This record gives sequence, structure tokens and C-alpha cells, in this order.
Amino acid sequence: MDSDDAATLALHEQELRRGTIVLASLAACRTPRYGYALLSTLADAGFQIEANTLYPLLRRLEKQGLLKAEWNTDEVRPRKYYTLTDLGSQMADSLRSEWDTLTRSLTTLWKEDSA
Amino acid sequence: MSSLTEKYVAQVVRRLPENNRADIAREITATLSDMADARLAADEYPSPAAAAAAERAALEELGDPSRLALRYSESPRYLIGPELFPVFTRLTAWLLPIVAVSALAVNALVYVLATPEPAVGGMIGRMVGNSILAVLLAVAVVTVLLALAERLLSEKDKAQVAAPATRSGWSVDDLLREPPVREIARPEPIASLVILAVMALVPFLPTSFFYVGHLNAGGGFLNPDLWDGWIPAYLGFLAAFALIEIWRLASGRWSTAMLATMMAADVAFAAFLTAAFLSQDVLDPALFTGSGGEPGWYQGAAVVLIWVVTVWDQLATVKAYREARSLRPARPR
Repeated sequence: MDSDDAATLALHEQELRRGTIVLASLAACRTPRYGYALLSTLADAGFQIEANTLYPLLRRLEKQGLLKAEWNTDEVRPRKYYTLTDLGSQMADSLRSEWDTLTRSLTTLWKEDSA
Repeated sequence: MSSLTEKYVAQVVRRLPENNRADIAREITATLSDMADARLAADEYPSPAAAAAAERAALEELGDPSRLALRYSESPRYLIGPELFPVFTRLTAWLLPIVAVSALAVNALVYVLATPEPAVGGMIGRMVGNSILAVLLAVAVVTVLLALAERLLSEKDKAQVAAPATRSGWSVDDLLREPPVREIARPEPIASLVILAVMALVPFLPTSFFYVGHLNAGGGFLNPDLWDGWIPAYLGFLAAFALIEIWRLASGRWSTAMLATMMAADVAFAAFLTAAFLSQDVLDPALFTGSGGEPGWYQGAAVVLIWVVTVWDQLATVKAYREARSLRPARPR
């Protein structure tokens, strides 16, 4: 694979991952988390996402009503905690089942063609 | 919080709407501290140098403040998006030729009317210079208007604006309304008509128009004696060619009769011009006596040129005819 092909592969991988980041963020926010903790949680689970992508995304999800954010000023460092709302929970479920459907479809397709 | 972090945060939020600034500034500040701390985790009492290095690394990870601000602001990162892009291409494709042609025509007219001694160089300079400006201006106006529409219209309105260009509501019925594809594209006969008009002007152009007016006191290029028959016949040929082109424009379809007419007219015209060049002084002899040249040297060259052009034109015509025929749908037998 030359460098052009590698770049093409990287592009496709990026597109494949892009859609999963919303679902992963929603899943991780079932327990209240602040930005950096969320970043670490996602990284530990294997989702490589950059901070400068995650923070604007969290804000967008908050604006769409899927997450709610609260400042916690009890600690030394004030932090903004994000929690999944009821709407966010419903949407996460729908996205999850869509994901499962896609996985099954792909598995079937893969089997059929190799047989 | 060091001044470096403060500066970074200020660079980000100054690009954001006012009502979000305080909140985002607080969050980014906390995040940068968290990121720096994570790098120092192993070190319980970090040296100031290590703390500064960790802060720098955190800032670099978050990256260019203007890009981060752009991600927060959600405004489109393109001038004209995919919804309106077809409108842009349609509009420019339709508008630019019109602007170019009318700018050329208007400037030519203004030049001829306003210049005491019109000459072709000056006219071309004026036409081309002003027309390029007009076309650039048209592109700029279309781009600015659509870029504004991209930012001001809602998605639904954009779709509506784009509908005629993108045909989002396309159905098979549209195929029925679509006129059949023309075998002879309109620009082709129109270009020929323009060339014919220019050729018809030749007997009337004064020599001063081409900077050689001193040779025969600004008379025409052609021998004035030819007006008693040869020039009217020349104009008659051009009129016949114009009728053929109008026929082609109106019908839009090749036919064998059309091909035969075109080829016959071409050959007849070439024969006529050959006869003219071989039997007459076609150019005004005064042009040569004025410059001390020998009249008549050009006649052989003109005849060769005429037949080269004619043969080339015949080949091109036959090729176009065959190409158009080959594209016709096969008739069921």
C-alpha cells in the first residue's frame, strides 16, 4: 500500500468512526462526567477522540437537549458535568439498535459473499 | 492559571458569540488544567519547569485557537455549500456568456461612437479589458450573494432555492417534458452566423481601421471596381450561407439534404473566390502603389488558402454529420 492508499484508508476510517463518537459520548455520559474525565473514559474504552473535537461536540449535544450540563463548584477546580437527559437516553437507545442492525447486516453480507 | 493559558482562552472566546464566552472560557481553562495535571500525574511535587512544559503540551494538544473557535461556532467552513453549489454553477454558466457578449458589444459600440479615429487595436483593447472586468464583477456578485444566502437562509429555504437547479423533485415525467437532445448544438450555427457577419463587413471596413489608412486615404480594402458585380455576388453567397445556418439552427437535426447543401455551397463559394482572385485585382491596387509593392503577388497564395480551408471544412462537416448519425437510437427492425 503506497502513501496515497494509506491516506484513502485513513479517510475512510475517519468517516467510519465519526458517526460512532456521538453514540460513545452519550453512552459514557450515563453517569455524570466532566470533559476531561469523559476524554479519558473514551480513550480507555478505545475511542481515540481529540479534545478539540469532543468539547464542541458536547456543547452541541447539550444544545440539542441530549445532555444536560451543570457546573460543580464544590471542588477546588470548578468543572462542568455532563449527564444524559431522558431524550438523550431514548436517542442513545435508538442509535444503539441502529448500530446493532448495521453490525448484523454487515455480518450477513460478509458471510454470503465469502460462501 | 498562567498568562499563557489566559492568552489562549482569550484567543478562542473572542471569536465566539458573547453569550457563550464566559462558559466556554471556564470550561477550556478547567480542561487545560486537567490535561496538564494528567501529564504531571507521576510527579507529586513538580518543578515549575515541568509544570510549564505540561501546560505547553496541553495547549498544543488543544491546537490552533482559531480552529477550536470555528468548531464551537458551527458556522459553515465553506463559502457555498452542497445545497447551493448547483445554483452557483448554473448561474455562472448562464450569466457569464451573457455578460461577456453584452459587455463586448456595448464596449465596441461605445468605442466606435466615441473615438474620432477608430482602429481595431484600440477597439479590441477596450472591449477585452472592460469585458474581463465585467465578467469578474459578475462572478464576484454571484459568489457574494450565494455566500450570504448560505449563511442567512434556513435549510428548507436553501432546498427551495436550489430546487430548479438540482431537480430534487425529479420524476420520470420530467423526461417527457425534456426536449430531445439536439444533434446540432445551438452555439455552432450561432458562431457561424457571427463569422458570416464579420465576413460581410470586410468590403465596408475602411483601411484606417487597421492602421494602414495612409495607403489609400482611408478607402476600403477591396478594389472599388468590384462593386459592379463581384462584391454583390460575394454578399449574396454570405446571405445564402446565413440561410443555411438559420436552417441548421431551426432544425437542430442533420439530414442528408442539409449535408449535401452545405458541401455544394462550400465548393461553389470556393470556386467563386478562386475565379475572383485569378481574374481580378481583388485588393485595392492603391494599397500597393502607395507602399511601392507589386500588386497581384497574393493571388496564388489566396487560392491555395481558400482550397485548404474548404477541404478542411468539408472534412469537418462530414465528420460532424457521421458523429451525429452514430448517436441516433437504433430503430427497431
